[in-house]
Amino acid sequence: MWKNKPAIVSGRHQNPWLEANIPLAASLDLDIARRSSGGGTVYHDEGNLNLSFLKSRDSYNRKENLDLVVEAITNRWDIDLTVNDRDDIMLNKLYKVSGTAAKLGRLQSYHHFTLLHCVNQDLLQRCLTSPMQGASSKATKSFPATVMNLSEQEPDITFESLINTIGRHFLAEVGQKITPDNFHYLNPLCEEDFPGVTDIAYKLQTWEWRFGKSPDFSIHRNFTGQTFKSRPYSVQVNVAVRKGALTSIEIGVDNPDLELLDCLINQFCKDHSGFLLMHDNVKDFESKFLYCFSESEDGQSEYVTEAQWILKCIVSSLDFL
Amino acid sequence: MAASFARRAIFPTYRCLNGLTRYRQNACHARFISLSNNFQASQWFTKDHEWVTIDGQKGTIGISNYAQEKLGEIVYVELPEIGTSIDAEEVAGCLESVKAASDIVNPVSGTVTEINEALKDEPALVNSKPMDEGWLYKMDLASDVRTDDLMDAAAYKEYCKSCD
Repeated sequence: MWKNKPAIVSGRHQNPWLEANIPLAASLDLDIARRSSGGGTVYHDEGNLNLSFLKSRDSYNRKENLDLVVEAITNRWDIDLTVNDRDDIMLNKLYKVSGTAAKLGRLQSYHHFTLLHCVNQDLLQRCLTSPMQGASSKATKSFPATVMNLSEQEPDITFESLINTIGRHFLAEVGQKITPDNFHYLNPLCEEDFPGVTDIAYKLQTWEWRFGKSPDFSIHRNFTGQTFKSRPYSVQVNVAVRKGALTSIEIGVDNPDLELLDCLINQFCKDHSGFLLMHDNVKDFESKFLYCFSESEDGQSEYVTEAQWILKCIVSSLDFL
Repeated sequence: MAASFARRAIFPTYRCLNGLTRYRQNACHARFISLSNNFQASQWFTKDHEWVTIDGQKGTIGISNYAQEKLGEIVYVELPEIGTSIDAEEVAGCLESVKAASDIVNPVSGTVTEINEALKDEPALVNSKPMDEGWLYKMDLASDVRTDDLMDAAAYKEYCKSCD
């Protein structure tokens, strides 16, 4: 059983840019993580209890684990907790207080789930609302739900009281009482106790795992409202991303007077794409673009304004970083 | 005309080799894959409910009907990169269903040559057609591939009964 400082945790095959507000998380210095198990994106803070049931593959049984926890809590506190057919724990059959995910290995398995007792709900909603527009992706999606904290129903429910109640119930199932031997804190990053964990932890913190593992996706945006020589035109921006890298940026301008500029910008994009989707790389792209499409001796200044507008459209398409 | 004549000349030699191979198999209780073109493609199953169809030096890997039933509706298939070398019993990829993310355990050593692109758009093909169109990836098999630890269809059917 564990808790962690504020973080957004996406499922193994998800796209964190599509599921969460990454710019907000960055501004608040929240961690962005990706699990090895499936499922949707969740927000954790210290008002959330995480439970991980580590068992052999043969003993894998989600219902059993969820029922055990629900029973432990309802035995002590008078609240209406049930498990629905999505294996969510529901409070008063209306509010989601827990989401479940699992990983099956060859011989081992784990089933883990959250339990919201005192989480910052406002921040949760804001973090799980992505500003991304125009995306197409085969990544697995989250199922949004209305949540509630257990402590809203029973103020007595805290991290400490929960771990004690659940721990006691878990041990009682096998005829044991709580002792320092069978119920104690441990350091999950202790290499001595858990050989290999340092490597695993390192891999899980890399950008490649957290963002680069997102399934291929594309963005398609359409920008209107600009005119050139009194003729309004629109700019289409198409971006393809693979393994977290921008494999192509293509623009389309529906104004024949800007055909040459369209061509030049597309050539520039071809030459300067391929970078990883990070703020610094986008800034770099921007500055190179501005340098290439700046005022020149032969007075092509009228095109400079349009080039800068098109750049704005491209950067706007990537404002979810 | 010349080609069929050549085949007739070669065939007896291959059949002879196959006979020798079978003799060695019976003597040593080890099954090695013959390199003959005459050898019929064979299908094998693992205890992890994966199947591999071996045709010469080529292998096609998928999961069994039993496996797809247990997993539930598959929503995402994570496959190995083409060109990756994977040993037997190593994790090759992952199948995410509504219930869990499950490792794909590679049945025989080899190098990945092709992945089933259809699964990008239609991951549930693994549920509806696990034994054919829902195949996962193909490999060039390692030269020392063994089927000792694998089961044929009949043995696998018995094994499944013991799993429930």
